[in-house]
Amino acid sequence: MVKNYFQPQDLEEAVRLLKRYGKRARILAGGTDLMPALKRGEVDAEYVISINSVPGLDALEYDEGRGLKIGARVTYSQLLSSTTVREQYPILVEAAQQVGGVQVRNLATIAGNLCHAAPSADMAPPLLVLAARAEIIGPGGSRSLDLEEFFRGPNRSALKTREMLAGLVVPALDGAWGASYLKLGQRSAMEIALVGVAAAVKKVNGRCQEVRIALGAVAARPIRARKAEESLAGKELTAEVIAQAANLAARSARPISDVRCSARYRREMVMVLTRRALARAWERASS
Amino acid sequence: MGIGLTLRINGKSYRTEVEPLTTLLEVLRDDLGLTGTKEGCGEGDCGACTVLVDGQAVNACLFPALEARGKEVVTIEGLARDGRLHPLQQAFVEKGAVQCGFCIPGMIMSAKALLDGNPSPSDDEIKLAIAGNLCRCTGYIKIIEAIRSVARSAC
Repeated sequence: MVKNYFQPQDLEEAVRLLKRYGKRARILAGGTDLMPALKRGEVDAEYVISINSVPGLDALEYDEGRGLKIGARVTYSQLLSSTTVREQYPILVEAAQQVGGVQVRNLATIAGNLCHAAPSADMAPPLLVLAARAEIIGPGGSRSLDLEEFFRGPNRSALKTREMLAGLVVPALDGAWGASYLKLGQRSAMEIALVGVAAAVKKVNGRCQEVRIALGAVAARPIRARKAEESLAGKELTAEVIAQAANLAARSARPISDVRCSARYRREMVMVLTRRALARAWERASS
Repeated sequence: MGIGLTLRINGKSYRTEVEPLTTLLEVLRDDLGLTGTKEGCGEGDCGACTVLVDGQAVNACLFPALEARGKEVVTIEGLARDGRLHPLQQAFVEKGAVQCGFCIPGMIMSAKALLDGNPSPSDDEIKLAIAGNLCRCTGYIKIIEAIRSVARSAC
């Protein structure tokens, strides 16, 4: 039972409340996952700490050196309306516009999607291939964590009791990079991903100098497909090379069968989507 | 003990008391009797509870009432003026867009949010704007026609 709903007016107060209530408190931003879960009793909390009045956490700032800073309160709609994001990180637009409908995108936050830590979180694969870092704050100060380390299992993040995600930092990409996120759902809107695949490629002199591939909804957490990435190093991404990498990506998936589809189908779709995502990322990377 | 809360809804101030997790939808329907806003799924999937908060379409079933403090809320009851339907409401009637009617308040609020920001949307933009609103009668075509008829022609 929730006894109190706090609306701290600055970050220090939010951290102080987290410190005082620890396990008994939950941070609320958009609330699109947390509100129904609290109402249904699936999440047990005595105190809700809303960060919606905390100034600064709604910052969405780009700097060529530091990259993109996404504060914990930044919503999908805010991300999608940013010209800078559209220009510099089209892959984030590709992912964000496939989440929920307008009403959910107006409330839900990118940080909340990651904290919820669903294996199918749509923002996870693109942010993984962009090598984003999680900026975490707690009573002991702040720390920065590679996003890959942030996901620990289904609905389990690396946040410790009394810690919260303050935001994300996404490194700047130069024009040699191309990236793409593809999502498969049962229909094209308002869907949870059956499979999500993100790929980012750095093309130098017609060769793949760096590459990252991330898979969503096909393991206990969003994962990188490292064997597939290694198979591409230094190569020109021809159809054959891409097909081979897509096979390796499918093999690194650990999908389950559930009400939405079978493990076998998910694995097959990892192959298809990886092929397409790599081809699109390669095309987008200007040589 | 309830928490005292003043809300601005359709241009009027309402004083109410809420629990920590009371949603905006619960306040509208149960406390204030503004039952035009419907509860469908109660978890943000169906859009029947769509209202505008500071001009943005949101699911009232997900929206903590306490977060509405200091904001302007507009519900379906706020659209008609002096006994005359809003152009969107009139268009829904004229185009036969209303079947059982349950999704319509939410549909109209989503359409209003769209047209307020983009007076001449394409059909694709209309479809995207109502992607979060389910019509179980499945009468989408006439709903889209109704919204299109209110949109300003782009050419």
